[in-house]
Amino acid sequence: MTPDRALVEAVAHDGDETAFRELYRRHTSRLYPLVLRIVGGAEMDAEDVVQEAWMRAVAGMSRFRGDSSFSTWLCAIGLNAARDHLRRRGKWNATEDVTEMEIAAPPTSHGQRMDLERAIAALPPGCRTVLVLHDVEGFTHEEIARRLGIAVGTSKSQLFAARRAARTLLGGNKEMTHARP
Amino acid sequence: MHDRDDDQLTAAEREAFEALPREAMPGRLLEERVVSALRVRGLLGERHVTRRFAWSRIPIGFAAAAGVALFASGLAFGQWMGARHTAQVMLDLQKQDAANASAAVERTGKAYLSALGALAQASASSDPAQVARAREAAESVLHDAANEMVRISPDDPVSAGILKSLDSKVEATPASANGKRKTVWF
Repeated sequence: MTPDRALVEAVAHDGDETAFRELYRRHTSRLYPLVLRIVGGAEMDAEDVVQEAWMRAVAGMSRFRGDSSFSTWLCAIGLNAARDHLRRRGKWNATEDVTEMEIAAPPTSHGQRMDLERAIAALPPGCRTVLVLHDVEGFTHEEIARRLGIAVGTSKSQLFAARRAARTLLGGNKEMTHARP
Repeated sequence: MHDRDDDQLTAAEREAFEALPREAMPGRLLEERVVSALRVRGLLGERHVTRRFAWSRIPIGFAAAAGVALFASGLAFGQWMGARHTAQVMLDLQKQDAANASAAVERTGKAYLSALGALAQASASSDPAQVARAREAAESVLHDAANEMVRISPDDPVSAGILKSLDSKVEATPASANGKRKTVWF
């Protein structure tokens, strides 16, 4: 299998479409769920953000130095693109007042328990992003703070609020569980 | 106030998060959409097709074949020499373009600073409305510059931070509420 680094060079230097398609097929499956969760589960929005992320990545590919894996680099670009997307729609506020947080619960079918995925989507964008990065992606608060340009304390507050809200959405103070398909 | 470091996930919650899928592909059409958009932006090029001469298929006699071969090899050699020269010229031009682009950024940056200096001097005595318009124009240029920087280095937190702070300011102004902003985002 051709290493990512070689494919990146082929795209950056020659605009090689075959190399790009290989990179796309290798790494989009990792980027898409991250972006989808951050934009709140809207598939069309997530596809727009994935496209934007790839546009930015290819435009800046000659500056990919390989300090991190290509997937990590692409996901960082995807995170910025998702944040810009939310910001353009006036939905992004990384330091939103978590004590005044309003939670827009998506409708559920009668008697159906809310799925963890839907509960995450219902959270306000700022704390949702922190929850996704911390609890789903495994980032530390320091990494989240650096990526989002917020204080470590803010990241902790947002995570605390997001978990509390998710527990509420999932039924009182019960534990969060994921409904497996 | 809660001690937020004590808010740990239960084992069941951790399991629920771990069960969430980390990989999923978007619709199949997206790949074509992205490739098409990259082509339009000139970021992906057409694949180069190498053509080979099929010598054995030339239906002519030995003498004619030898003549054609001689001609073709001369032609191919000439094309190779020309292509090599062209490639070198293109390489030089690209280097020159990059140097010119860098110099242009420096020149326009100095012009921008000079204009801001003039604005600072005029702000004390000129019509406040005109000064406000000039400031708005200056911020718009700064925003567009930050936008381009984010395009050049998408994962650079400094450029993203500048853009973010400018956006926050723009979103807070009545002008943006009236939809006057025309900056195109990438």
